Amino acid sequence: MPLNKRCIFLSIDGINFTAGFSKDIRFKAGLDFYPGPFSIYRRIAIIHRRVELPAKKWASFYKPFNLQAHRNSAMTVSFTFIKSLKVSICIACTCMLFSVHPVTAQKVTKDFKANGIAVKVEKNGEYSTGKNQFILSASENSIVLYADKANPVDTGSKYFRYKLEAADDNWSQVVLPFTVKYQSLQHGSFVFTMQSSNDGDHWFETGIAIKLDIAAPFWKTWWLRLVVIFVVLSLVWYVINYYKQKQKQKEEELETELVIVYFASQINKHYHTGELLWDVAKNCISKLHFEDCVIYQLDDERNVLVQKAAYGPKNPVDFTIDAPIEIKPGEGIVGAVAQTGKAEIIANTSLDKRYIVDDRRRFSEITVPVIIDGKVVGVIDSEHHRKNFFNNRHLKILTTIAALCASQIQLVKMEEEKEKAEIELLHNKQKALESRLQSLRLQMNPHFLFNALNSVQQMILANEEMVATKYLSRFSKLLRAILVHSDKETITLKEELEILNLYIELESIRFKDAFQYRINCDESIDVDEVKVPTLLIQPFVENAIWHGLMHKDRDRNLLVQFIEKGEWLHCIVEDNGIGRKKAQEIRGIALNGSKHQSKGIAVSTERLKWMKSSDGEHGDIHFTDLYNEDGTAAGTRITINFPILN
Amino acid sequence: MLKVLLIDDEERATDALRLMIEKTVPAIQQVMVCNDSRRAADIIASYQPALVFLDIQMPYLNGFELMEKIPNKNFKIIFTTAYNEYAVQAIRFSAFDYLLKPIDVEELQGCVQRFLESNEDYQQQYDLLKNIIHNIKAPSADEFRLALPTKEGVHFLRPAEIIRCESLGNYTKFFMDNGKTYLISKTLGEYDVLLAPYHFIRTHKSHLVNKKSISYIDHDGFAILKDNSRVEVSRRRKDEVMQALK
Repeated sequence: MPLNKRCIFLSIDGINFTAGFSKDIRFKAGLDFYPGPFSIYRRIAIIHRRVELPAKKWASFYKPFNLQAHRNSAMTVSFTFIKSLKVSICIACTCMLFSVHPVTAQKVTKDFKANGIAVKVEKNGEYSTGKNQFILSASENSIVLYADKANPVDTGSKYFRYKLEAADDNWSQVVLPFTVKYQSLQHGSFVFTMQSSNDGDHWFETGIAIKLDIAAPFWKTWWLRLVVIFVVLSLVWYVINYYKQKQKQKEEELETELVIVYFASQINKHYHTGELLWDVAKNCISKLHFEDCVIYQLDDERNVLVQKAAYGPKNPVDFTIDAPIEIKPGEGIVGAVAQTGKAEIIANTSLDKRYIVDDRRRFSEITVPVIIDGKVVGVIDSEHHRKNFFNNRHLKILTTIAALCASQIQLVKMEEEKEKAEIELLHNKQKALESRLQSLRLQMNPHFLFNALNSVQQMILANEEMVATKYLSRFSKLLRAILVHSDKETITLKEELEILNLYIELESIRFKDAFQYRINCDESIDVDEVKVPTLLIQPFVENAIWHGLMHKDRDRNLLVQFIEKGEWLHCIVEDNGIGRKKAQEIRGIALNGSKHQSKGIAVSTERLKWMKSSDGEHGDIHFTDLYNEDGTAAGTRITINFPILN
Repeated sequence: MLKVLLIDDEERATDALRLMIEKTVPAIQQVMVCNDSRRAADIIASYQPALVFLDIQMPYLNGFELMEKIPNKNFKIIFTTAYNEYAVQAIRFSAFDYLLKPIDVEELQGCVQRFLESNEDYQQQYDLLKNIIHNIKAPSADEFRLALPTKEGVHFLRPAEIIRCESLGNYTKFFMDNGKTYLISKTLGEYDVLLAPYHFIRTHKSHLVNKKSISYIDHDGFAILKDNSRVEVSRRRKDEVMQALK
């Protein structure tokens, strides 16, 4: 054992007392208790004195010196180190060896002796004696043991051997004094035993059995293991959870995507807004597991949200809403969302003042607006009896659905408008066709036809063969012209003029030249090229004869004129009859015949509406009442304007 | 001596009728013509015709207006018209005589014959004429009243009030929704034509039924009507009747 400068040496071997110390550590020693003779005290006092000697000199003092003491007495020597480490050594045996040999300032040597052998155990930290058991910490697993004769004269045995049970397999024979060092002992219990022998063959127990309990290192302690297990388990749990969470998130995302894809595919199928909304409401329940789903659409005209589709306990039947709920914007949660255009999740409706209790309170609600061009056109709303039912995933899905709905509604709207326009176009065409056909039927005014035939009968009865022949041929020409042209929408002006001429001539003959007539046409007009609607003018001419001229006694004139102005053709039908006002007065009991005539005019007027010029203006009719200088009625002028058809 | 007045604004029309009468109706000895409705009333007053052929559609005053102006119509009126479906319907509903132009000689002769054979009941003619004017003035043909001349007098009723008509040889029996019945000396065929536009259906050759009064068709194929009467439905008409009920 090398001497360290900072070591304290102290040895009491029976009555011998040995002490030494390194230069830096100063100590004082005092005999606290001694039952023995004064001499010991004295010696101690001497030591005490010596302690104050310079350390250098004490360094060479490592030599046991004898101290006479009374046998079988015990004493305690107490050292107080400067670093306030108090060491008490109890010497309880008659034969004592007392030694302190710390490796460092903190190190204290322990010892045990028996059967004349003294064993020193070097250990960290603690110092005690009279013990045969040492509790050592894990870091104190390097142990130095010294053994020497407790009393050189006393020990008769020649041979010694030792063994550290649980560490050494075999006994090691030694000669006293000896030092054995165990390094890096495992934790656990070790027993240092020694045997002695006089002949080397027969061994006897010395009674030295020093038990060394080396604590397990902290990493081998149960609590640390628990901590480690706990930490590992938590880590594992955390990792599993993390992956589970990720997996769940992934699944949810996938599910969300699937739901959205499903909705998208469903939504695209619908070309009717109503059906679309019903389907969305239904799928919200089946795919998102909502309890109910109500979709409102904004009625632009009345500015109210009208329930358009509803699924759930409130409305279990498909496609029917008995009494659609109507909500004004700003009213309730739905109304508020319609106003703000921001989707909302109400986790607890009982905390929301806006919530309107319907049939019963449902505790959570999700409300998402359907927005087209920045304008709320509808609201998707769902309620659930549980609080906090709706989450961000629902919000995400519903928002996407709302956007899909919006685009589909817009698409449907556009389709509908397109369809409507097409229908309108078709309808217009149909209407134009109908009014044309009606007009053609009206041109063949049966009254005129039968009266004409009646005239022929008269001519025959009156033997007016030539007149009858002429009349019949004219009548046939007119009939033929009408029949030939009746399936055409337009005819040339020349053809129209011919028909008018025939008609007026026949009426004139029937009334025995009761009126004069003239048909004028601008020479600039190419009558072969200009097209006019078939038989458009005839009702006006008939009207002029029947209501203008026939109520007049004599000097009856009819003028029909065609004037071209740009792309417009003006037809003027002028009579010098009694005027519209008087004709109106004369009509007492309205007869169906006159109804027929006014109907003919109405149909012609209708036909003119469908005739549009290149700048979009349609044909029209103007009635002008004519007056004499004295203010009396002088007839009527009807101007029919329509774009020239080529 | 049978005096006749022809009123028509069209000279050729009066001319035709006059010539036809002169040539084919010897019973008529004297014919007067009026081509101006404004003067017709005076001519009637002075000429005192027994029979007046009156055109409906005329300038100034039409035939009905003219008749409304004449207080004592102690002459028989026969309307003439070329074509006026509405007016003709109104006249037919009143069981009034009329002629369509150009005039058929035989029809003309028939009219004159009926006139000669009838007892001159001008009150009935007055009622019928009033009914024509009611019908003409009606806003729609649904308001037309059907004149049913019986021995006691003329009954006027709306077609909707009729439940059914039954043929009894040359007579037709009318069953009304108020339980009354009328026996009219005209064939069912005439009323079939008249009432067809008013939801009447010929279920059988001797039955003309208002569709709206049919309650159901029983197992034997008879139609049970509102008044619990049971009307035969011929096999040929059955589909038509069933169709009408839908």
